[in-house]
Amino acid sequence: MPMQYVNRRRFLQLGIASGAAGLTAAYLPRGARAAASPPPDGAGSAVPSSVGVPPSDRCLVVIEMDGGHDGMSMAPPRGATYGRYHDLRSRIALPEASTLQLTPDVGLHPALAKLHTRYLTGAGFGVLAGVGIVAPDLSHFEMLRRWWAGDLSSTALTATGFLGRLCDAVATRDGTVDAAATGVSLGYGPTPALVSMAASTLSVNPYDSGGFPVFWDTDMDTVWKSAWKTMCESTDPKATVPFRSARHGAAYAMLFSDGVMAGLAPDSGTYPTDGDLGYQLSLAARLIAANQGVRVVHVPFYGDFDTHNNHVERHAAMMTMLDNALDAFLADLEVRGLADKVLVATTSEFGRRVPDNDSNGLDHGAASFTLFAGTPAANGVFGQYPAFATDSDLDPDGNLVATVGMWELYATLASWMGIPGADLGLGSAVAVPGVLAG
Amino acid sequence: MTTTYTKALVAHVLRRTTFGPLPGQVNTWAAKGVAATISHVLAAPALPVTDWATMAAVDDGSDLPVRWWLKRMANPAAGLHEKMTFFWHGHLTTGHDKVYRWKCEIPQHVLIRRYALGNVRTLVQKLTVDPAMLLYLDGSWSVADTPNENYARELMELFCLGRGTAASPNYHQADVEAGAKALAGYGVDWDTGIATFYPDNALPLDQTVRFLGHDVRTAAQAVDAVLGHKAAAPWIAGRMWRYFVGTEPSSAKRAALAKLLIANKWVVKPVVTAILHDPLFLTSRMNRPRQPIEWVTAAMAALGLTDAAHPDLRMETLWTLGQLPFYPPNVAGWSWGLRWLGPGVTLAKAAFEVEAPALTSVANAADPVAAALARCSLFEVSATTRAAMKKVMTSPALAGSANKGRRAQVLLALAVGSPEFALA
Repeated sequence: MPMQYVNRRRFLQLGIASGAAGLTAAYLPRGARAAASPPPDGAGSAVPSSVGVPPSDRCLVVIEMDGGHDGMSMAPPRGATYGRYHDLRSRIALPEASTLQLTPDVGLHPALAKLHTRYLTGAGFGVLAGVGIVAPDLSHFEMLRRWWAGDLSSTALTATGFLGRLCDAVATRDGTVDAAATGVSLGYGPTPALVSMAASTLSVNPYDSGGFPVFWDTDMDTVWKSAWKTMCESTDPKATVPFRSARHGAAYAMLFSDGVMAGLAPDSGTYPTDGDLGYQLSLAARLIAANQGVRVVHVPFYGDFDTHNNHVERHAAMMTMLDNALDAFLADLEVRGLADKVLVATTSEFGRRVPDNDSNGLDHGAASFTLFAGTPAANGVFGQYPAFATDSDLDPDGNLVATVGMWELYATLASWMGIPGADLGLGSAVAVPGVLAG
Repeated sequence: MTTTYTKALVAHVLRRTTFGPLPGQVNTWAAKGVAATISHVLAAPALPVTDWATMAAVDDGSDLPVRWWLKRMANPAAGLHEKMTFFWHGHLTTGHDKVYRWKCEIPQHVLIRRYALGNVRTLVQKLTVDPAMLLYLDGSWSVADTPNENYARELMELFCLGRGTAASPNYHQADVEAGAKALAGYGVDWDTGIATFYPDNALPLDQTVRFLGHDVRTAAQAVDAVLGHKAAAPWIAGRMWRYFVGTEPSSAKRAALAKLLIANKWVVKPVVTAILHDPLFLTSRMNRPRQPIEWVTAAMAALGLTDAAHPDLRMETLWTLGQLPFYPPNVAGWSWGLRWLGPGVTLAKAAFEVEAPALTSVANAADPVAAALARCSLFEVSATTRAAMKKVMTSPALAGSANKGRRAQVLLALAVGSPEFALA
């Protein structure tokens, strides 16, 4: 609700003014992980308006940073541990003074200035440190598969994706399995992440906006669409399952085109136009605003995260793109009155090697960091920053050891949507404390 | 005089055994009969790949090898051999996004072509120590002391055995670990793409591991142990049955095909021949989705769209549909089943359908609906689809002879977009 949002925002600003140091309380020192996170003064004592949003109104946007995103460069150490960080990657370390302070021990990449402002104003911005898989693999392919499926060891070969299962659970609970789409991926093809069993999920090219393709000739287009509708109306109850599925798929494609895409509000015109991410997030905002059943939006960030060489420049370009596009998205949600409904989280199949290589780059690593944004996100640095003080703190390959499991992250996302992780094949994993506001 | 029913059967045979039918093929073969069509595709010679070395030398960022293979699939002379080459690619998978070495993948592709209808035992033996496979499933630089388990697991789970049931698993984690030790010792040189055996990295001569009930030391012995497992022949034969018939075989059928495979010393052609002559093969029409490669290849031909005039259409459509050769989504290959009929796939197909041209053979036909359907080799068409196409003919917006070309475009787009064309 817009009014609640304004109230909360004012309250948070007061909170920061009265106790900014409280914001750091959510960063748990080594050894304290999984203890109930004390709510930071100010930020935590506010009752976020998102808490009042019923689960049936909540939406989730997941930005997938394929390629292996270096969390340590997104949220580098400051203070006591900075020296060791600089020693390990002297050729690519960010100067301590250049990073934007989140806590005395953790900074933010200098290119994330807009998101840092959101953090400072208590608008909902958090970093979850050390997210990964306990027994990781160094292959993109293998790890993507695990992340898409939500499969820790890649042995289950489950047919569905984690986000697909989440869509199934949400649509089933909310009685919306007939929606044209519960989950949408804004990429160039179907993603294994959204493969579902009950709910409709589909992928939409962010540039063609998912509208039903057209004949340029309007007469032809009208006739074609009318005939197409006839073609997917099944009149034969004896048709085989594949036959009915083909008609069903066609009908849903049309339903999505007519029922969702055709009614979309216009682009706000406030997004960056360099790179795909602005276009993708703009469409995400419009899809959520349409309120036609889309609850989970998967955004493949077609970025340049696999920085085996020349890490500093390449990574900074990605952070700039993320800062501009995500800030525009969050602002767009506010204008559209949707800010309380939408949680944004990032994922990556793995982080990168702690020591740099001879090419001023970073090889494949293990744990990475997740960024949370939006009103439903609490302000702070959460989880436990993976240790790197000695070589034995790292894994045998020189990588950060995960302190938060993929399943705990996924359980956190599921808990935002009001779905128990156990219902989604996440075992007994529970949400990471403190990450969600309230 | 060939009947529509004969044409439907011939179209079915060509859909399942080639990437067609291409326009005209059904008429040609229907005149000779269904049995002659099956004999023809079985006997069709393998397409030559004499220029493979050129492809092995292209830059790893190039998509030329993908186009090179797609061109063979679209070749009117392609028969069962071409279809089986794609089958093995989806079953004994490797992918360019991980291997990223055409100099390894193209020779592997040639290897698969060589054995596509031949000896699967030999094929698995050779693939086990093949550079592209070693890179794809992490056998490269695996050391027996601390081996990488990836290939050992997939060799059993996906390639040769299946997991079995919870009550009776086909293998255990101990087998994965033991198999990985026997398979270790190979390393692929990143620059040359050549695989070399390094004895120091392998099990020593005086040591064996217990693997699937056998004492094995080498990769070849490990593969023999896997294929000696009672589940191996039924698994592989069952996958071929599913590819051609569209369903899982009955247990009796699976056992019979497995027996045939072993009786033929693991040569697969007699098994495929038996499948194509099984009565269920001809009656199992339109019971599975056409996979995107099957759909795009047939659709481009049906619409008369050429690569020369539309240089990227084939690649782009396959990319958006999610099935590019050399790019399987994971080691399990492309998913099987109804997901290829989902709304996202339908939208991506529709973006292709609006490219339909005004073919004069349809525009000038006495019955343009029938002509468009025949052009797409559709001879068993639902009343719903016919009614939709007839709407085009009676639409006031496109009435009159001046609009016959535009009607033909819409009819062809509908025929290719029909549920019938979406099924194999």
